[in-house]
Amino acid sequence: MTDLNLLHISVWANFAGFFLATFFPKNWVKQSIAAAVGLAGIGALASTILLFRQFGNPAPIEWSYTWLEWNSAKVSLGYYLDDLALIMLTAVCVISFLIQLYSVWYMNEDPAKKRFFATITFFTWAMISFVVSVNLFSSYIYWELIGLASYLLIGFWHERPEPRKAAIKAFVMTRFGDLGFLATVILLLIKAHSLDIPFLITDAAALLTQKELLVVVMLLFLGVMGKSAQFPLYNWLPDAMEGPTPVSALIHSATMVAAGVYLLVRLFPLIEVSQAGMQYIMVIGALTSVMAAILALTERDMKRILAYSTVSQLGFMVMAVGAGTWHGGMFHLLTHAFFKSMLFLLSGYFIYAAHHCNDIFEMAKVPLKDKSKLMLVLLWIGALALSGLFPFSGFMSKESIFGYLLESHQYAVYAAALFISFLTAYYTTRMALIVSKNGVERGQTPFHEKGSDPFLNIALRLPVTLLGVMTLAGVWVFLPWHKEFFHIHTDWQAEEWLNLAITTTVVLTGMGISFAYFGRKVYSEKGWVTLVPGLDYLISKKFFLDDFWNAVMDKVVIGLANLGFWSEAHIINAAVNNVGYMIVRGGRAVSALQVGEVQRYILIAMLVIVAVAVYLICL
Amino acid sequence: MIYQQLMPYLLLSAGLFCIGLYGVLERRSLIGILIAVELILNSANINFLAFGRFMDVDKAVGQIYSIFVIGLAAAEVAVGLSIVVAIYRKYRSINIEKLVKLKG
Amino acid sequence: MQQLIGDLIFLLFAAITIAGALMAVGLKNIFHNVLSLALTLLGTAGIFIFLHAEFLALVQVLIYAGAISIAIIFAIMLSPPLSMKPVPRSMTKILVSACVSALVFAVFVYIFIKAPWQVSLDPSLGDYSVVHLGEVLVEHYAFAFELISVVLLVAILGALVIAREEPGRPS
Repeated sequence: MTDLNLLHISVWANFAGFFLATFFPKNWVKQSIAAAVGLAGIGALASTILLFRQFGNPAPIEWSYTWLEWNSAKVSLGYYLDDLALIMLTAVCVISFLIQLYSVWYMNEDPAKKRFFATITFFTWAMISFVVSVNLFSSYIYWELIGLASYLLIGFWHERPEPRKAAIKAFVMTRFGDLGFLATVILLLIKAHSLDIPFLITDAAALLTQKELLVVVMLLFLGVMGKSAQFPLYNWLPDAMEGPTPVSALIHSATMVAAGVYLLVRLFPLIEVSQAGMQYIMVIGALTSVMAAILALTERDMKRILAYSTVSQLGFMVMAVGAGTWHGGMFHLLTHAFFKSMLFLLSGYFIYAAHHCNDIFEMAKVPLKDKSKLMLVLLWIGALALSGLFPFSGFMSKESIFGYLLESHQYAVYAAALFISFLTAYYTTRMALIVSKNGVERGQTPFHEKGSDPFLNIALRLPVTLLGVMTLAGVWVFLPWHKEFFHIHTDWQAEEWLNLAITTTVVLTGMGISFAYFGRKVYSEKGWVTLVPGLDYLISKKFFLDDFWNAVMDKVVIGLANLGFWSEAHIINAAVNNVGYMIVRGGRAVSALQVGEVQRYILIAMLVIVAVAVYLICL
Repeated sequence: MIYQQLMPYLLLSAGLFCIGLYGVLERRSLIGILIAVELILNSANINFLAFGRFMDVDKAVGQIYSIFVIGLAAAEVAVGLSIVVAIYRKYRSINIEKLVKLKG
Repeated sequence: MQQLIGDLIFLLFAAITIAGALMAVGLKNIFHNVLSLALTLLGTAGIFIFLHAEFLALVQVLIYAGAISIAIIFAIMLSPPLSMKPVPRSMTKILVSACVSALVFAVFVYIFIKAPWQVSLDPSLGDYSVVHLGEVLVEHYAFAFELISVVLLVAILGALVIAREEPGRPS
């Protein structure tokens, strides 16, 4: 079993699952699910084996099939698997498999679950293909496909109007960003004459001027803004929570939204040449992170808290990449993928416990004895990882970023990162505290987990447990292998200890304030936000971003559409019709010359003769 | 010595032609137009004979041309008058301004 | 002296011709027009004599003034409705026609003056006799001569056909 074969298997296993789940007959539901989940498992296994075999190997696996070629530019399909792609591939495969397993429990009573599994395997295949893609053009194709899958999955329960609207909102906003990506592809094709990723990350930077490079970076980042929910294109992500929870876990926390960050990291050697571009990326990332963190402070819907948290963490990753540490950003992307997806899966359980209500205060009403202890422990593990507390994985990745910022003396960014960290710790602890409340304080809501078959039980509990184990121990167990890749230095100087002290203080402060407000028997709902004048109002209006984009749609987009409609009717159609009218009128005008009066004809004939004679005389 | 120069005859025929032309353009009655046409033919005749007299050609040629013109004029008048009669029978008018069937 | 008389008579005939022509197109009554036409034709016959075409002058008087004018008179007189209705004249039409005619006349005059005519004035050169006319007619223009007979025949037949009354319908 060669490495290339393993790669083929991990890429195409999910596609096979999608294919079978789609084309199996309508009543073969169990078989479709088995095929989908089984094949996803095989893919995950293949990628894990590949990871153990190939990681650290300096020679990447390259395989391509040229699809189109003109001049010196090629569009090809194929794989480029270096360490970065390999680690991302494995993460996507494994997380996707675990989430599909969880979906067996979550979608158990849903009548359309066959469609669900077909779509989710389709998404996984597209995401994997994007990660290992060798050519930027095929990356773009897969990028669009994952956008499509996201649309299909957000609007999965399409009988209700909210998921439909949310799906369209997500698709249109990301599509808008995709224009930037497409423009980048075209620009690179014209200027660098090649779209092959190995070429782009080595030699392409030399072929472009600084200005061109800046334009490329800005346009590429536009695509990232759309997909990875950066300001001002982030407000589709909270609404995307209308989709089923596994979808939120897979797509809108771990994989699709990470695709933007991955793209930045993938093309980092090209991007880092443009200083201005890097600055821009960093600023937007920081801004997004802070805004989203503020919006999470008073949120009641557990999935929306997690959604804002995702936006904030994505901003954090983007900020890190913009500041120059791609390994920090990538490290955080991976740890975040594990604990955030776990948190989402847990939210699925707690929503179920609160009788299908997303409100954390409803969850607080469920008595502690009825909530699964396993789930609560995992919730706290995830929350502490997100806050960045030692020894959880989130701590390591955030430390990597903080350390780099200190080393490169970017103190303003460091301060911003600390502020974000404080807010994150605060709202995450708030969420965890309220969800794990005992129902006796606020009026009980009984909950009984239905005694179901053991397979469903495993489907619920195994994925979250595995993810929890990875969150807790994954970084440490595999440290010898990945520390070089992520530039982790284990020999700490004074600076690193100082950094540790500062960040831990910040995190503990945030957690402490949260405990003060929400830890007691009688607790507030909004915490310290009410103390800051106007902040609550701003948050409730979501910084007016939704209103802004609605206005843009109404005025600009629909205005343009109306303009097009009007001009089509009045200009184009009118022109076409008028050509006909002109001809008819012209004909009528000419026929008016035929008066039928003979003397008139003779008159004109004589005049013409005189005219000709005069002309000939004058010659 | 006027009658021994070419120019007076040419001017005379030109004048006759133009008077005839005026008649063709202005007269309303079909017979009036016919009469004017006769004037034009006469002017042509004078022209032929004048050039026959004053140019270096066989002196019989001008006269022969004029004879033929007279003959054709006769034929034309005959046919023309019968057409006028036929038109009158059909349209009850020989006012040329009323005969505009070819309009449009 | 002789030439002076010649000039005067020439001018007289020219005046008759022009006056007759003006009356032929100018007068309102169509009968007057036709008679003026006859006058014009007589004047033209006189001009023909000045051009040494005596035979032609006779032919003009006989055929043109004698036959054709009379034919027109016959047509006018034998169909009473044809001679009725004096139509009111339109000033526009008169002016326009006069202008156009004047223009054409101007063009003619200009051409006549500017053209380099190669004129041989000697009247004695050349044979103007009827004998010579007949010889040339039969020798060189025999075909045209025959043809004109056919034309006249066709004209007569055509005139008869066109002016024929339709059977059963009152005229």
